[in-house]
Amino acid sequence: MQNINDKMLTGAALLFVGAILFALLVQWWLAPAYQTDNAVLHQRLITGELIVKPWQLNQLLSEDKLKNVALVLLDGAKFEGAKKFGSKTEVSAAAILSQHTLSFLKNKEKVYILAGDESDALAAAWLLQAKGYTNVYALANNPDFIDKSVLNDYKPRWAQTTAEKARYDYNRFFGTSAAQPRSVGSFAVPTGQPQVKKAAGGC
Amino acid sequence: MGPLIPQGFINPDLNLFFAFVIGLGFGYVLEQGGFSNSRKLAGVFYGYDFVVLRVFFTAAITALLGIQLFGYLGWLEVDMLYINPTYLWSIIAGGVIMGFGFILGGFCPGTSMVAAVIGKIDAMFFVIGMLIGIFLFGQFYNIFEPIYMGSFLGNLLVYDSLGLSRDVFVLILVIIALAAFIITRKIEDNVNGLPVAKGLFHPSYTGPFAMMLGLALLLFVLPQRPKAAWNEISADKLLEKLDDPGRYVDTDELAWKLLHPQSNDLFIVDVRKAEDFAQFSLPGSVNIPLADIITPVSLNTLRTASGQPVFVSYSTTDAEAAWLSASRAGVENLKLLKGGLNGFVEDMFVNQYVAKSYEESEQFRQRFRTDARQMFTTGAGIKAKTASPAVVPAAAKPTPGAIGGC
Repeated sequence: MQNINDKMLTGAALLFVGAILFALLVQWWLAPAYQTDNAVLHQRLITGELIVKPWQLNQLLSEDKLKNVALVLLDGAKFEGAKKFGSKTEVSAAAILSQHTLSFLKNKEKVYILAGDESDALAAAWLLQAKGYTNVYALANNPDFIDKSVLNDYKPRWAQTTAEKARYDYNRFFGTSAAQPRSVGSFAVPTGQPQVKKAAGGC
Repeated sequence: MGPLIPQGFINPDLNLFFAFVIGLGFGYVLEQGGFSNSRKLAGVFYGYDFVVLRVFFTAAITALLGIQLFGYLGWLEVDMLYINPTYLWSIIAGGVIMGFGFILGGFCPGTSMVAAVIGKIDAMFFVIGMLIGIFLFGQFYNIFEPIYMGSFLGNLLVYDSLGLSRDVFVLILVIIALAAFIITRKIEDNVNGLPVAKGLFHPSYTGPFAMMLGLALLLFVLPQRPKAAWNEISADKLLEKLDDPGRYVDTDELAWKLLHPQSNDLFIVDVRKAEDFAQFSLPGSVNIPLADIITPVSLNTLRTASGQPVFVSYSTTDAEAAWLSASRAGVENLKLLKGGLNGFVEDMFVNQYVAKSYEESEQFRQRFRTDARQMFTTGAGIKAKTASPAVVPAAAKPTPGAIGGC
């Protein structure tokens, strides 16, 4: 009897450890080669860490530190202010992970990406950060705005300006009002809070 | 990814059903393991049978290692696990009462039920005694309450209280469990008059010991989480998708579908903050703020959406951010509104569209924009839809749907 119990214990332990090791092997085999966890990167997106705002660019310019920053221009974006940066390269968005781009990024203190659309620059910076190039950031807004309103005629009211901003009174266009019964709680997807139930009992 | 009920994977109404099924399984295993025998259970106090201690230690370290490694693999949200709150006085009093009950009756609550079910008379008396105790506690709760609720210490974790890291604590507990196996086996052999096995421990323990220690050490080597989960999409594939213009929904498509609910196959996900969504939202849209877009509930909502998920924000930026994070997490077939709400307003209301040629499609587009603008501006496109409600995930309710057409 004791012998059977011992064998069962060994067998169960083997199965348990085998299942865990198999799962770890599958994870290692199938997981794509990222250097930054999705949750960590998402946190950077939420906090806006990936986007360089006008005030930050202006500060670098006023402290004469823009020379230490390399610039990546996406998809042939026309940008007069490029000469104020330390170095520059032009790539297409589709080639952002190419060897040419990656070798340009190496040994650079900071790299800013600028595109015709802020979202394209963000996507490029996100991909590179995911691959471990944590010195890469996206420039907010577009080349025209940066040329005119940041590098040449900077006004403090533009300090936080990004493309992601309410620009219209949407209710006026849609014939609606904010007073409509659309409480946030009833329309929002709950974020998975644990349901607290009092535990009871023992073994 | 678990826990399954709090995250909406399993209907909470089935909670008790699963408890019943798991309870049956637990009872069966207890009975098969000999735990319906009070002599076997009481043996731990007299030194002739330590199987109870060994079984519970085995269960503890198996669960401990399993939870940590499942958490690493992303199968389990460890932070969502319920931690029993610590009320110091009730733990001490309850522990003493249960210990006495265990020695006197030869059962603990769970094993007494198992034994009673298979017809053990002593267990039936034990269960009756337990029920009387529960009844008295309920009747005199006011007297017991100061002890029951006394010295609340919160949801404590042992390793936090001891100031240890999680991995160190796991290793220490595994070592303690293995030491308990060795010591109890030697005591047991001694009390039962059996020849004590040579060496530190019984040879049959070598394999399980090595495996459990190995897993505990593995937790040391592994980082808190892997840099990428096995079901994530690679950067190269994401780049290919980013290059695909088909991932955008444009102004005209969205306007047409908002005005023709019967052909609206979109599941509009507004990723702006909740307060912005409360100020204005597109008809039929649901709000999943960018911050919550990769929570298990949100990913499940996107995967099981009744229509084509389309991310919307003020511009394309936050919608793109949501698209990147959710696509990498393995959600297929996501789209976003090109230009966002600002682009939609500019195309539809601010900049009057003028047909570029006399071609039918251009003429149609101009007429459509004019009519759609009027429908939206008068509010006719936003009136509440009273017919069959749109199918949306249980956790999310839509804003009133659009009616009419043009």
